[in-house]
Amino acid sequence: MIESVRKKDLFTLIQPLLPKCHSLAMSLLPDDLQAQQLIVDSFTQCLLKEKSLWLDRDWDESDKKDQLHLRRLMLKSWIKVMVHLGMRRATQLQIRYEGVEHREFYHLDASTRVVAWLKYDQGWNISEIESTLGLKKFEVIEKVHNSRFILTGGLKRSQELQG
Amino acid sequence: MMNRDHFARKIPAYFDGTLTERERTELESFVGTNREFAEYFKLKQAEYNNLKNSIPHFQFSTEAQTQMEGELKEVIDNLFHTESSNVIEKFSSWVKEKL
Repeated sequence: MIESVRKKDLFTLIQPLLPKCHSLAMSLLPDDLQAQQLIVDSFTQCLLKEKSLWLDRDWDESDKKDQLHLRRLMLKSWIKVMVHLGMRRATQLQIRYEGVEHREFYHLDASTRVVAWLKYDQGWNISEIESTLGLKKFEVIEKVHNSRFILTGGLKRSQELQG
Repeated sequence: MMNRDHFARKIPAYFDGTLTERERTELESFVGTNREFAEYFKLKQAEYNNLKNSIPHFQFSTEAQTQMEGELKEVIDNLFHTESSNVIEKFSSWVKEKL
């Protein structure tokens, strides 16, 4: 009985995060199947990595009240693992980005893509990105600057082509 | 004397949120007192807002979401199952030890 409550609570916690995780996974690996596999694998690793936090937890009323905080915590741990796995897979799979849409975006290296996604799509600030990805502040700033430079260049080119 | 170029260089960092409080205030007051620079600033702001459009937006279909939810439920089930088995195993070996 308690176990089924824990399972249900854990699932309720992660369910709203799925569209975001899908978007991040696709940013890392622009292939539906690979992205879905990445979501499942990173979720499994994330739970195993912080077993005491997610699996051994006795979900009580205060957890339900604090759900937003817990969900944010889960999202950050999940992203961290997903980025780690996704970057490795992006290299191993040697995915060709030529044919895909948003060429400029996929021409950025995987970690810069993640930083750009967190910063410009999700609106995270530098320190949040720094702590979640385990990067140094100057590294995050460098990736933010590089991605902006390349992405605005791409925007200008596509506007010129349209005009 | 800080000139236009000095502030123009600070604009990207301003939008990225990486300027110090003092630098931010200086830039804002320069924008407030210089009409030509304010126009340039607006242009850069529009460019910055457009950045979001260069990040791909992926459709997560209901079908794909349902499938994904099923897989993640399975992950949770399996992990809890493994956890319960471990507890039983630990208990049995403890009993064996005691006997």
